[in-house]
Amino acid sequence: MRRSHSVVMIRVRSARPAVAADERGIALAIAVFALVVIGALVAGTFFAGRLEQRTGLNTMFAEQSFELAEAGATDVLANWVPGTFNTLAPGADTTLPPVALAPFQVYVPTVTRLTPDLFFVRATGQRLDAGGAVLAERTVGLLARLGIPAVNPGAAFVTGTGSQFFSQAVASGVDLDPVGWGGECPGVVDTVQAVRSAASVVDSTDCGGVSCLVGAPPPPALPILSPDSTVTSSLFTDFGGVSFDELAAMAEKIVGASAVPSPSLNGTGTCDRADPLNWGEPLTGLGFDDCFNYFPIIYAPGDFQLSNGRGQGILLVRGDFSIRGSAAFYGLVVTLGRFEAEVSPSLHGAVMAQGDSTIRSQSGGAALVQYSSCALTRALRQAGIARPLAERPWAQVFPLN
Amino acid sequence: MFLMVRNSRGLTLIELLVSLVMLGMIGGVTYGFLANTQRITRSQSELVNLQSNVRTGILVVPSELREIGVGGGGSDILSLGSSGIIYRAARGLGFTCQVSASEIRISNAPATPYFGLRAIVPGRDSLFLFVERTPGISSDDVWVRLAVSSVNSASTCGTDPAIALGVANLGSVVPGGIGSLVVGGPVRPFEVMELRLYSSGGKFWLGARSVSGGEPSLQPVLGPLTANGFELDYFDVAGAPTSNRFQVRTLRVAIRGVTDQLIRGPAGTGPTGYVQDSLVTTVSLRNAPIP
Repeated sequence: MRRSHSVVMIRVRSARPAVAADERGIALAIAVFALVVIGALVAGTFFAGRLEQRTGLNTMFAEQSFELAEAGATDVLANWVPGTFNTLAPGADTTLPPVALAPFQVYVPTVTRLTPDLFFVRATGQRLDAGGAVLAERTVGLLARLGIPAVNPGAAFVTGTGSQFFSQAVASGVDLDPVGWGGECPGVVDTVQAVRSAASVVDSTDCGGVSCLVGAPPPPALPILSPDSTVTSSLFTDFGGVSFDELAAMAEKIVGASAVPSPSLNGTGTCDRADPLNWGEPLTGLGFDDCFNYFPIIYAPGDFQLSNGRGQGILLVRGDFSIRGSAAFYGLVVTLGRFEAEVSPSLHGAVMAQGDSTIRSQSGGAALVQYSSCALTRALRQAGIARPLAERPWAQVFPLN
Repeated sequence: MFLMVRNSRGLTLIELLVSLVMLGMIGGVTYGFLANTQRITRSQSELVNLQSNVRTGILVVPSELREIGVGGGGSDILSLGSSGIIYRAARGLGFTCQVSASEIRISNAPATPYFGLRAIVPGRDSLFLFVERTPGISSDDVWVRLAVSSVNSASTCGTDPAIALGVANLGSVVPGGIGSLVVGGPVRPFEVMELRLYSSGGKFWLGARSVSGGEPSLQPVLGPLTANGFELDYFDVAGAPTSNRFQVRTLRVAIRGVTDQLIRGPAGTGPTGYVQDSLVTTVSLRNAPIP
């Protein structure tokens, strides 16, 4: 009996799997089917949502890169670096390091000089991912024209008050190119007054009459325009929309109370513009010809004395300016204080001094203020600031042609 | 023995009916679920398309219009309206490397390449040529407009690659003659385009055509849109509305899209209809003078 019972139990246990399979199969299939369908739908919905999210992000990245590009082009113009850009030859370009305006958002600026007066500034805005890969990129360009400070001294020496000339000091309004500058300014002849003065006091009696003042109109008329009502204070501080302060802010060299400038080359044999005492090379054939086209803006916030040495460019002195010894400077000098020249210094271009002036030769030398439109033009051109063209300056730049 | 009898007995009618009812219920639930899911999917797809459509429009239209130039006695806006505009569309930027009375060559050298949306097409495209009349003085600079009669993309300037563009009577168009041109200045190809809302197949679309290219009809750019789906408003330098094409400084662009198909509300209980969405942006004309 016990044995028979145990046999039945074995049979029952062995038959149950077949019954269970018959009754549950469709439920399992339906459940699996439902799970698959639900999974597919969830995946599809997720995919659609993800696609929408990616599209939105890409749109945002594209807009960000466009804004970066536009900001970059404007930024380059607003922070124009004359010493870098104005020295480019027509057809040449320079690409500056990337500038980050926000995390993962940079612009890469390129400046191309098209003609002596025209520049093309383009900036490529890039939206980066955390690894530095570019997610979106747009380029915007601005056509710009070199705005050259409008300085027209109309004389070799312009003074806001009185001036005195002693000994063999000479102020000449006869337009002369500096020695060795042949070909730099072809066909320019622009003889002007020797002196223009707001005051009536231009004393040259101690240099033997008027012979030390040379210029238009030629002798026997006096080459002096005094008093000149057009010589106002703004003549010394406003240069055709570019102020003294704006020019000073562009200065590459900030000097203290005195300096003895001299051109210099760096290790690669090129002009060392980082040298604070390298103010360019006005002379040729002395081994510094690479500095011949370098005309920095030099700014002295207080009184300043130039004792010997040579340089070129635009020299701005907020206080009194004194030039002594055999110092030579080519370009434009503007001082808001007094001006004093002693011994045998030479200034080629023009000098504008708002305060009293004394020009005195000593030790057998001859202090010289020589008008040179060529020296002026070259110095001013290097100091120009690029501004967008009045019409059609802005362009979307497409990467391929 | 007992199990064998039971297995061979089959299904009773009641079991079959219960099974059918259960299958019907499961099928119904499944169908409802699938139908609802399909509705949601279709609705979402329609909404995604709608949003994508509107977003594309709000990117493309300002991109096309922001380079318009106004000022200096001229305007690139040739005709303006609330649902359409005809304008000169910039298509590239290049720099001259050689100029004669009948030909302008544009540099394609690495330092000064031609930046173009596409190749210049004679007849379809014209040029703005920058004329720098007096070096050092910007007040007398002008842009002159020239038709392009031919294009040779395999030209050269010296040894550098260039694109030669045939032009007519350059000497008479340029103030001061060809001698006053400074080689290296910019050239800007453009074509006359029309953007307008139009109706086709009972739906509204934003269409575009090249007027200067002689295209007779508008081609769809995006849509479907609502009946006022493309709307332009024009403002002068003071921000006041203007209809004077020479005084436009900013444009307000509105894109209003609509779904292509009917969309039912949530869970099939909401109303059935077309869903609308819109985006509005303001475009400052970059080549209009800054006061």
